[in-house]
Amino acid sequence: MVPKLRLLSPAGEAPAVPDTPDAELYHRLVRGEPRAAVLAWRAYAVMVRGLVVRSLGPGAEVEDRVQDVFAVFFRKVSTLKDPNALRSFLFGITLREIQTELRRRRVRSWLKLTSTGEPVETVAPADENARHAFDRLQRVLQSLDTRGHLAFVLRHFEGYELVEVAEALSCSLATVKRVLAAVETRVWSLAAQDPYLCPYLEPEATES
Amino acid sequence: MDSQKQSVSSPFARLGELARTVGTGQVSRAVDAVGERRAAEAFQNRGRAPRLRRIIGLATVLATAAAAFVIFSLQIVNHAVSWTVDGAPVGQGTYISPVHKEANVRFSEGTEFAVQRGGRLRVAEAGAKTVKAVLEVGASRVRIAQRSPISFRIEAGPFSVSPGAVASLMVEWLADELLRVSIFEGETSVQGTPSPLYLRAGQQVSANARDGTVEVGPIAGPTVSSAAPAEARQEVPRPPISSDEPAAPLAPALPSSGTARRGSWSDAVTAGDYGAVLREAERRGITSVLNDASLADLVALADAARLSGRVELGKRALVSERRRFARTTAAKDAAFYLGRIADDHEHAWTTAITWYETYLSEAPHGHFAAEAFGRKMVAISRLSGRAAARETAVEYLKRFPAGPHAGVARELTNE
Repeated sequence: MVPKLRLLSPAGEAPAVPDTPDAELYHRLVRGEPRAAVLAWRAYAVMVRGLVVRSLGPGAEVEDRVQDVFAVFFRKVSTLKDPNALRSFLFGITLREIQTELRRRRVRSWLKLTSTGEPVETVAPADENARHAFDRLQRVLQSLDTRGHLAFVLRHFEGYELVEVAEALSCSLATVKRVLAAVETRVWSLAAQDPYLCPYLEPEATES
Repeated sequence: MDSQKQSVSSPFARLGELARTVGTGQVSRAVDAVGERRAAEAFQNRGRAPRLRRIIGLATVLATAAAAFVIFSLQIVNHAVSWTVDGAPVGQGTYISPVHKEANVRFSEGTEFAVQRGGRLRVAEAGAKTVKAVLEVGASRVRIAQRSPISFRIEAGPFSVSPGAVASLMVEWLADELLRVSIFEGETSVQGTPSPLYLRAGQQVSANARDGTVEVGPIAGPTVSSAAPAEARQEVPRPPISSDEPAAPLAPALPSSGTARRGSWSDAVTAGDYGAVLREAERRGITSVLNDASLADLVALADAARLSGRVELGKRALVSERRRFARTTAAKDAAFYLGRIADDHEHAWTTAITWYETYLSEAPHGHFAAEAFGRKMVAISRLSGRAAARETAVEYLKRFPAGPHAGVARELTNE
């Protein structure tokens, strides 16, 4: 199922309006025009990479995961029924790749394996404290199960409505509410104990 | 709902803002250019990937199927250890008690047991890697198959015999107290003695459960030590395992020594000459012997009577032991033997249970504690049903997790 999601721009990032409309890019990709791949990359690479980084954290594997997403996208694009849903289609593929990577990481952690390589510049040049806090935030997220992890990212980083999160994760609204309630409690308790993350928590009283 | 609204309403709004600020997805132009080139190549190669994936997928499926087949086959090999008695399959725990001629127990991996006439053996456990047989009385020749993946263990009373690879040996459990193991080929270890024994071809061990004596010597007169030349070792007799002929009598049991049991009746029992003991007792007068004989003679008389089928005389001798020599180890053991007579010969389960409990209360850590406890469990199941024996089975497994009745106990607890 292809989730039909709205895409929100990260703060400070100009709204990503591709030069080539989805439908036209779709037809060029299906026809196999060599230029189409470059156009797709320029249109969507930032979106894909942003979601990957916010979900998986910065690391040497980010670019490889982005490439994996595009490889699957190029291979399956001809199966897309609605050419106008190209962006959502790619977003869905990205989510699945992230899910796969999260599961892979879980297995690696069971096997006590670590990924190798130094993080590449996949994060914006923010101040040192913010980058450090972002790293700590990723560690908190990695303590969650895969579905809770993605639900939290989609809800609180990407800003999706609960029904959209449910659609993206192929589960019911009630399940998403239950999953989010659990992971929010956990993230809150872990972040509240972390000196770098504590300042980023809004007091509960401000919740409307 | 948009991100602005989110930032106001959620306690995690600032965390979200942090994530979006730091993790924008923007990279340097160089990194992006590399990614763009790789994406273009992926696009060019997109048609080849499915074919390659199909091949890899097919190979994976085939490899998985092959691995599953191998594992399944190994499982069969590992878990389907079966055995036949004179060619007929029997179940685990079945007693093998040949009357007229020896019984040949053949395991699926090639190992053979030849249970001698008058002997009684059961295969208590047959696991993936181990087989445990319990020799309750008599003798059994054992030949471990070449390259056998199974580790065999033969338990006799408090002793445990573990033959090594390609071992050929005779295990005897006599008078419920004497273990004799003669090694014809290979190596064998014996546990249950004050310290574990490791025996080689040509050696024989005799261990007495009652008085704790242990004798290690050559099988026959000539000494065949571990340092003997190979030719000398090859002269060690190796009985044909599948022969239907009665087993040749083994060499004299124990070289005389200061620690060996003394007394002609005891020696006669050890040599298997029960008739001589009974004739001499009758000549002296049974009542007189029961009232006046030494403890050693009483014990010998009880053994000779039991093992030659004179159950009533055996009981009288055992009771006499308990009456006249109370508090001795022999008197405690007599309670166990009285339980066995009630159990095996009279099928009087209640009486048997009482005697086993008596033994366990008098000798909770005695040589026959595991055997008495296990037999009590079985007697309860026969008397009152398997459910009634479950509690005893649980207790048995706690006290003797590797005991001779552990398999039966596990079956009872799992029901």
